[in-house]
Amino acid sequence: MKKFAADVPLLASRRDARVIFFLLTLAMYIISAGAPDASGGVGL
Amino acid sequence: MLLGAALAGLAGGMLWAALGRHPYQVPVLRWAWLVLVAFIPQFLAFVLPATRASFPTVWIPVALVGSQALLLIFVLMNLRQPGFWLLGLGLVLNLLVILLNGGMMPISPETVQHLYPDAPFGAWQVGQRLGVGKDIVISIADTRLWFLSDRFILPGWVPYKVAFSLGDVLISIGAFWLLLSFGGSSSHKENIA
Repeated sequence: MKKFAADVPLLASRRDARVIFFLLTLAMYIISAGAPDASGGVGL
Repeated sequence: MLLGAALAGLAGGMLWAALGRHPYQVPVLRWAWLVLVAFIPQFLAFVLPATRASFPTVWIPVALVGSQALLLIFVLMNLRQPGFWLLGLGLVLNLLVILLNGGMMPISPETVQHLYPDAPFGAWQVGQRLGVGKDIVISIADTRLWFLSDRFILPGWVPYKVAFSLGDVLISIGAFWLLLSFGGSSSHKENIA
């Protein structure tokens, strides 16, 4: 387990994993709550 | 734009933590699974190329309003976190103008013309969904609470063209503030498990 953690630096600690999960959650939130219309993003 | 603000806040927060010689820590959010549940219908309706083109238009308002209603519950469950009131206020403003205009975010023909000056004739029409996005083209005169719609555009010298709402601006500020604040040492210590 320690070797796996060393091989995957981003998951080297529980705190890092929590930060990644938090950022993913926030990214999904702002994509879903925001409604910007970006040129090229709507298939025209 | 929204993700850019979040990345800027994250970079600032990590720099703040590094300068203060303490770890960058985030809290455990309550009911975080609700965000994933809310994200799935929008992912299918607006993001995934394989499904967004065939997603029934009549179901778009259901997917958008239902999804944002779930996000509202999530925000209320986490209002103690820094910046969440701004994330929530932006969501409420977007949801309000969407609800008052048939379940999609209104955008004016003038703004669409600015975004897509080279769009072929008939590519978009007033009263119709704009492509496969969240917006519906409505004239300014017919838009309820027009000032909350996708009415802002970036300056002409910015190569990236995008239309965004007041709610989007508040969400951007809230995300920036939230991620920046976690670089502080003790302001949110009580929320971190």
